[in-house]
Amino acid sequence: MSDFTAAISILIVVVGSIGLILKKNLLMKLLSLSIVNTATILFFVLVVYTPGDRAPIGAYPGIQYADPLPQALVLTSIVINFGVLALSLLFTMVLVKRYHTLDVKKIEELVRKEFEAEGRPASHGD
Amino acid sequence: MIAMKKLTFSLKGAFVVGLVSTFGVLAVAAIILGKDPEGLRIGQLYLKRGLELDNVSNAVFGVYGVFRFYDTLFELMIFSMAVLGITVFSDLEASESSESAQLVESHVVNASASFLYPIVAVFGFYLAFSAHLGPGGGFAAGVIGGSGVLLLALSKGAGETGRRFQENEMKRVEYLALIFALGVAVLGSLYPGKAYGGLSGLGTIIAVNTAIGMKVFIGTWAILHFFVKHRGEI
Repeated sequence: MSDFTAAISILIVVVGSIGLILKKNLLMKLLSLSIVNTATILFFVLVVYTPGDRAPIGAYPGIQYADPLPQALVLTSIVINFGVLALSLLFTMVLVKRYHTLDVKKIEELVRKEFEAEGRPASHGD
Repeated sequence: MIAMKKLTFSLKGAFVVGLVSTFGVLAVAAIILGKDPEGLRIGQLYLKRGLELDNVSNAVFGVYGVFRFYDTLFELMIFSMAVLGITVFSDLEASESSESAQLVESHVVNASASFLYPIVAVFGFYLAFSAHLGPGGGFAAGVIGGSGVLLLALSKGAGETGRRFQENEMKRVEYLALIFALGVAVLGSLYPGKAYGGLSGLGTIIAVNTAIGMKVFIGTWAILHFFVKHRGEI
């Protein structure tokens, strides 16, 4: 793995994390999360890539095999990302159905107004 | 006032960008400085230990199915928690447009779906049964089975397909698969032979892969079904 390619995948992770924190649209946040996950998979691929590797199936001596560990980890990562993305899309749909907006700030304000209307103090505000 | 607000926002943005970039630079520095000259030792270790197993020739399955079975177990747990959340919320949300929506009638889709679905299902089962010998595995088999059901739902409608597959029974099968995986993990830690984590007998390997395949298949189908139901029809 060259350092340049690793730096590129880390850069994509950084870009995705900044989007995850700074974007106010919930769908954009989910998109950034997806970008982070894809960049992580890219990093795993770059960690083990060496030219001339064979798929690690069957073990014959004298053949250079690829590392099986990151492949298993990437399987985990893909399935978890699928589940997390589906669940957060569901929560986003619930929020949109209730507040009719995707903006986090507006949702927060509406929740605070609801709390004040009920006479409860807005617990741990932001 | 507005300018002040803008200024604070940009300050916050600069702070976040700086913080995250610092972590990125530290990560790159750690990668460059912390290079291991031997390299890839863990992977070679798993390849070597995989040779000692009698029944496994796919080293990737050796990692996620035998040596690191706990990883797979907890992954299955997280996946079933996501599916559980989606199922609960889809029951809470009243689906008003579930049955009323019209399917798009297309003879080509109808004929090709009923012709192709058995082939897709058999291919999924083949991948689940032979994952210890070649490319494939429970996860890929489950996703392929879910895609096959999606193909069937394209021609027959999601509600009809759900009734045909007896969705409520399938949800029980999903948790049975999880319990089975848990049992294999417990037995593998009680009787560690050559493999720590999972069991490496041939029957257990095939059953583990089939259980993972069923789990992912039903989970994928539940997620697809929820989004299809919410939207009305495919």
